Parts: sequence; structure tokens; C-alpha cells
Amino acid sequence: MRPAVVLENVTKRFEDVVAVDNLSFWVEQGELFGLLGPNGAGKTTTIRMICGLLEPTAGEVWVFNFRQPRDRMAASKFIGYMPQHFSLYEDLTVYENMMFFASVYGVPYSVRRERIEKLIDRFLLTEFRDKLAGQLSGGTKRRLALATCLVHNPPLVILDEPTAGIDPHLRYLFWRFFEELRDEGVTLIVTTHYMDEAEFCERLALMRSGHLIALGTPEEIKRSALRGELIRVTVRTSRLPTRAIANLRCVRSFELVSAGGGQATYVLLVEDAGRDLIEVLRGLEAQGVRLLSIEPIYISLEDAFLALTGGLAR
Amino acid sequence: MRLWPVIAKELKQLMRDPRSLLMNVAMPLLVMLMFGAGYGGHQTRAIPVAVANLDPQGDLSWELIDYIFQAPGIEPGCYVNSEEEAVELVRRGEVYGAIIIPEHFTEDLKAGRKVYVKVVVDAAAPFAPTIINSAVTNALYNLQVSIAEDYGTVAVVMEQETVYGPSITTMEGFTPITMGLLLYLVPMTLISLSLCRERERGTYEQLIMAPISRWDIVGGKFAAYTILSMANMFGTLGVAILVFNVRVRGPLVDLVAFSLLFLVCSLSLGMFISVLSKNQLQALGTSIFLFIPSLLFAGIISPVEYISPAVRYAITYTSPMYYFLRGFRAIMLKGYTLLDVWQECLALAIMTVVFFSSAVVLLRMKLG
Repeated sequence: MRPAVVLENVTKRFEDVVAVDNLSFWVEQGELFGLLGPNGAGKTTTIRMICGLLEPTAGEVWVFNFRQPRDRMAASKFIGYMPQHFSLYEDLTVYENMMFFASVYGVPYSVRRERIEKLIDRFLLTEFRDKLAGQLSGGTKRRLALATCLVHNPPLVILDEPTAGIDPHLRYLFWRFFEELRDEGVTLIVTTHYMDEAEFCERLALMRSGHLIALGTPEEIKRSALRGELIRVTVRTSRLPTRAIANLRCVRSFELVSAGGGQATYVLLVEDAGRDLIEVLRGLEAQGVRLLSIEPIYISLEDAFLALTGGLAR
Repeated sequence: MRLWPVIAKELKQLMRDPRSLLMNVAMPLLVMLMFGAGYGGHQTRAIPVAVANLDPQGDLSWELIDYIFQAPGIEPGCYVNSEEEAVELVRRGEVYGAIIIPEHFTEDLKAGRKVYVKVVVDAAAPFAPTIINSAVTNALYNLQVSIAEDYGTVAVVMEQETVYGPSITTMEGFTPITMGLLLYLVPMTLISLSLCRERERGTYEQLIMAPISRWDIVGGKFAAYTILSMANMFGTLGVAILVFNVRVRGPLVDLVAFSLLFLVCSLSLGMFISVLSKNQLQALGTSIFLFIPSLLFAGIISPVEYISPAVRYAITYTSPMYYFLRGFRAIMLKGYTLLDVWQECLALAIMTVVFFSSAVVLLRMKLG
């Protein structure tokens, strides 16, 4: 089966700013794929190139068998796109917005009505059906946007920051929707800067400053990011025990997280947190450092990301 | 072809936007009503002129004054006893001009001596010098004819006839201009905002993501605005004809068809502006900027022959307003038909096609 989306050495330059630099990855059909990175990483630019809304400066973008943006008209029938900002018509009602997009996407008249009613039902929009979109709350607008981008039953759904700025309950609900869609065989590309959400994705592409810095499953990324595990140590001290920690053989690198009030907290990178914990404990006490607490740290994707971008474990 | 959904959507949005309804339907009607209230009807309006008759005992001086105020457009503001007083009144702006009849006017005239009548006009007031000068010239001419008859000398008598007149009222004379302004500025401005509004609100991103062609977007918006602007057109024309008794001498159907052609032309120009503008403010600015030369150089203020050839060829002959005024005046005031104004129709049609197709070709179906 050919991939749903392929990017080959894609670069996008805006005047003198390089928004996306030599990016290559592919998305398998039926995959829930996450595009992860901080604001300004080039996620939206990448998404827009996949949608055919921007022309790459160099490289090729393929969606199914269509070259973007050359085959935009043909490709767009297979893509459901939800932009980052609400971009439906605020002076049309929920139903009218969905009806308009159903008709421009050429959904046959016979199934239009039924499909819209189903989507309204599924995304909990029944009570807002005849309300103007401009009068809806932020979360409801987001549900309407999602429902509208599904109105032509696209096999590929691209969502740009679908959960930015909405409450945790709806965020959870949205990810349930995404997983449901994935289970129905739809390919999803979701961008986010919430690292915790990205754990739901099957595969991830991590971006920073227009570059791809990691690609793989969440576990693969975590493992490759740190090349080890973390221990947090809090010590009582008047003088920072930097030297004592540096003397420990099992510690590959470390970083001062906080200091003050006669306390200091460090994060240490070791090969195996469970095994090396004792060694750290003994080593520090042997050098006269008074420990307040010591514990292994669960590595989140955020830690992995910071590690990959040089914030930790230099 | 996804034209219908776009038309339906645009119409819905237009009907829901109180601003666009107000601008497109209420404002033109209001302007036409205002205009009719100001210039319609049959009562005469005149500007005041001071008279200093320094020959109050003579009969010919009073005859001349009678002749002067027979002319339309001026009336005696006040009678004074010296030239200085009369000139001072003009200087103070209380009257638009002063007519000074010298001492011994009747006596000198009867003795066959040359006499002078002095006319002082306020050159800063538009139209006033022309109106006053022509009234005085006419009066002097009438006086000479009358004297010639009384004393049996020779006189050359002018016989004046008008073509398409003389029953054209002020209101009828101004109706083509009002129609032109309303059918040009309002639809052009409205449609020029439409695409920019989509861009500014971000809806353009979702719209062009759909399998929709540039033709659908331009054509759909264009058709919707044409339908709405026709309400504007019928409204203003209806008010002029029904409320202010403006008489259409040519076929009404031809007048409506010609107006529709002009409407379509200004809409396509507006669409063209919209495609080129980055935001609503820019579109509005461009619309107004394009409107001003058509106000100055399309034959509203002065006959186009008064305009220097360079400007006339560069601006007048490329302005839809010029062709509209010519054609509309011909059908409404002279009783021409659409066939008689085929050149104006052709000019407007060519401009429409050029603006419309440029808009389609130049519409960017991408972001950034």
C-alpha cells in the first residue's frame, strides 16, 4: 500500500526566512500521525504544503497519487482540512456551513442531508444546529470545524492544532474522536504543541525551527532522545555539590534544575535509573553531601523533546 | 462547476449583513430621495443680485431691470443708491453680483450716446458669473430690440430653439449623474470588500481548500452581487420616475438594460480591485481613488471637450462613467434606443470582459 502522504526534501522559504528546511517523511494509510513542535517550528507551513495551499520552494509533496499543489483540485476531494484558526462563515448557521461545504465538495444531493445530520449528532451539535457560527463558544466552534471537514468523507484528515486553547475535557474528547476515525480507516495528521497529547499518536515527527529532529513511535523517540534514564536528586547544601556529582562514574551528564534556600535539585542522566540509584546515593554520601530526596523520573515526550533540542543532557 | 453554492452562500451572507443591506439598498434610495427633494418640483430657484440704479428717473433703466429679472436663476436681492454700496454687498457675500446702471442712462441712450452697464460678479462662487452675465446680456439685447422697434432703427433678432427641450427639468438633467454615481460607487465598493473580507477573516483558507475553481469564486460572488445591486438600481430608478416624475423619453426596457450593463461593469471593476487588494482598507481606498477621476473627468462637472486631450484620452475615454452618462442621457432625455447607443454598450461590454477575466486570472488560489 502506498503511503497517504510523502514529503521529499521539502523546503519552504518566505523571502529570507526558511520556514521548513529539507523536510522528508511519509505517513502510512490508516495511521494517526502527529506533527509535534513548539510554535514557529514550521508545522502549519508543512500542513499547508500538504494541503496544496502553499507551494514548496524545493522538493516534492505527494498526497495519494497527487502532486501538490499541481493537482490541488483533484487531491482536495480526498482531504479534510481543519485550519488552526476558525475559518468557517460566522454569519451562516451550523447547518448552513456544513451544507455549503457539502455542496462545494460535490457530495451527492441524496446523501448530503443524512450525512450532515449524522455528523451534527456525532459531534454534539444538535442544539446549535440553527445558530450562527459566530455565536458559538470556542469549543463548539472547534467541534463544528471538525464536523465540517468530514462532510465529504475524506480518507485523509489533516488537523492543525485542533486542541489548542480548549478545555481538558474537550481535548480528551477530541482525541477519542481521532482514535475512532483511525479505527474507521481514516488517515489522520494532527499537529500539536502539547507533548502529552502526542503520546496518543502512533508515529510522530518532531520539528524545531523548520527541521525534522526525530521521527518514530513515542517510545522510539524517548529512547533515542536521552540514550538513558533520569534521576532527580535534592540535596541540602550551602555550596553547590557540582564537583561531587561530576565525580560519580555512572552519571553521564547532569543539570541543576533549581537552587535556593539551602537546597539544590539536580537531574542526572544514567543508563538505568533503577540500578544506578543506589550508586548515586552512596557516592554522594561518601563525599559528604546530605541528600533530602532521590527518585527516578518518568520520561515524558516533553523531556525527550527538550533533550533532543539541547535543553537537557548536553 | 460549483457556482450555485457560492451564489447561494453570498446572497445569504449579504442579506444577513445589515451594513451591506444599508449601503446597497437603503443608501441609494435615500440619496435619490434627498436629491429629488432638493432639485425636484417646478418652483424656481434664484440667486440674489444687488441693483444700483443711478438713473432712477429714467424709464429705460427700469425697463432694463425688468428684462434682467425675467431671466431664470437670478432675482433682485436689494436695491441700493450707490456703486460703492453695491460692490460692498458683493464683497461681503450677501449677493452674488451687482448690476450698476449709470446716471443719465435713459438720457444718453435716447440721445444716441454710448452707455455702459457695469456688472460686478463674485468670481469665487461657481456658476454665478455665468448666470448673471447671461441674464444681463440677454436683457441688454432685449432692450436694444425694444428700442429699435420704438425708434424704427435696425436690429438683428435672435431666434433660439432647443433640441430635446425645453421641458428638461433640473431633476431630469441631474438624474443620469445621480444614477451614475450610485450604480458606480456603491456596487464597486461593496464587491471590492468581499474577497478581502474572506482573506481577513481566514475563511479564504477553508474555501480554497475545497475543489473549487477560481472561476467559481469570482463568478459566484459576481452573480450574487449583481442580483443584490439590481435591487439598488430598480429602487433608485423607480424613485426618480414614480416619485419625482422624471420622464424617460426612450424605451424604459432599454434604459434598464443599459443601466444593468453599467452595473455589471462597475461590479467587475470592483472584483478586480478585490483580487488585487490585500485587505479591506486597501480595497476601499482603491475604490474611492478610482471613483474620483470619474467624478472629475467623465462629463459630470464640465463637457468632456473642456478637458485637456492627454487627460481626456487617458482617463475620460477609459472611464465606464463617461460611456454610461452618454448612453443614459441619450436614452432618457433624447429618446434613443439601445441600438442607437451601441458604441457605448460595446465600450462598457469590453471593459466588463477585461476587468472580469483579469480578476479570474489574477485570483491567487494559494495562501501567503
